[in-house]
Amino acid sequence: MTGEPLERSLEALHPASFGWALGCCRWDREEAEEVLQTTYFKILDGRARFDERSSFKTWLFAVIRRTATERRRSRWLRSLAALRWRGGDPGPDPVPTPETRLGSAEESRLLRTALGSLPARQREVLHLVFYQDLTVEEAARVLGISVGSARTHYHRGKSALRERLAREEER
Amino acid sequence: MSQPDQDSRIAAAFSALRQDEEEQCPTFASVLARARMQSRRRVASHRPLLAVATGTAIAIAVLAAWISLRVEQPPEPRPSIVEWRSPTGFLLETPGREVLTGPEGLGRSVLDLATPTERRSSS
Repeated sequence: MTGEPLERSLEALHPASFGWALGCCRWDREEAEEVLQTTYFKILDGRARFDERSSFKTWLFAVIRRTATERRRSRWLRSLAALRWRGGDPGPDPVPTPETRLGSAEESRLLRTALGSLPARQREVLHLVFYQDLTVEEAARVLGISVGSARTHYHRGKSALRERLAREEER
Repeated sequence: MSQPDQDSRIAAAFSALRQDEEEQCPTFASVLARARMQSRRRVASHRPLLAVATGTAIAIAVLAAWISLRVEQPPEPRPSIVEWRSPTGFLLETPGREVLTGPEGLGRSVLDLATPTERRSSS
């Protein structure tokens, strides 16, 4: 798939892609836009090619996730190099809390806070299933893990999210 | 709360989140335009590198051609080992060296070599 059909497919999935990019960047809007831009650039440049082994959406989401991971890693390495040069301890990649990212409705804020406290894999599986309406099998393909593993993350994530949502609502 | 109720509660929360985030989604055209700009910038940033690489390749090709086409100089004639003379050979020009270099003659004395025969016969 190239040229105009490719662009049409990207445009049709654009809002969902942005949502997934936000999820991958822990709701850092600026970073999500950069990730999406780099993803489109990779696809238009031919560095990421759709081989039709899965659905276009599954493939696109996998590219977005990989791009977000690459950016996070390179940013962390840059900060590590800068801190080493200054003679400090880099510590973990600084991640702002979900509340500081997007000003939004209370419901969304609660969910973001609860999701933000979950392990990355659980958060990603839940996002793909509940937000993107993918099946657990498709989510596994996006994340590059086995279906069994994705199912485990899904169930554990769901019960953890329920607990956290209940806790957040009580506050 | 039952399991399906809990699932629908989570689904509703995600639905609200999706709605909220879709409202803040940048337009596809703007993201695509920035992606295209990024692509052009990448090509432009590679242009000087490409020019340097092309220049180097041309220089190497010219040098290789010059080396292969260069007329080989005829080798200088080397002196034969038979004709060769040592620069310090004169030091070996000592009296009586014939005894060492030539075959020994029967009826000849070493003294004949050192003194002229005429003088001996006259005395």
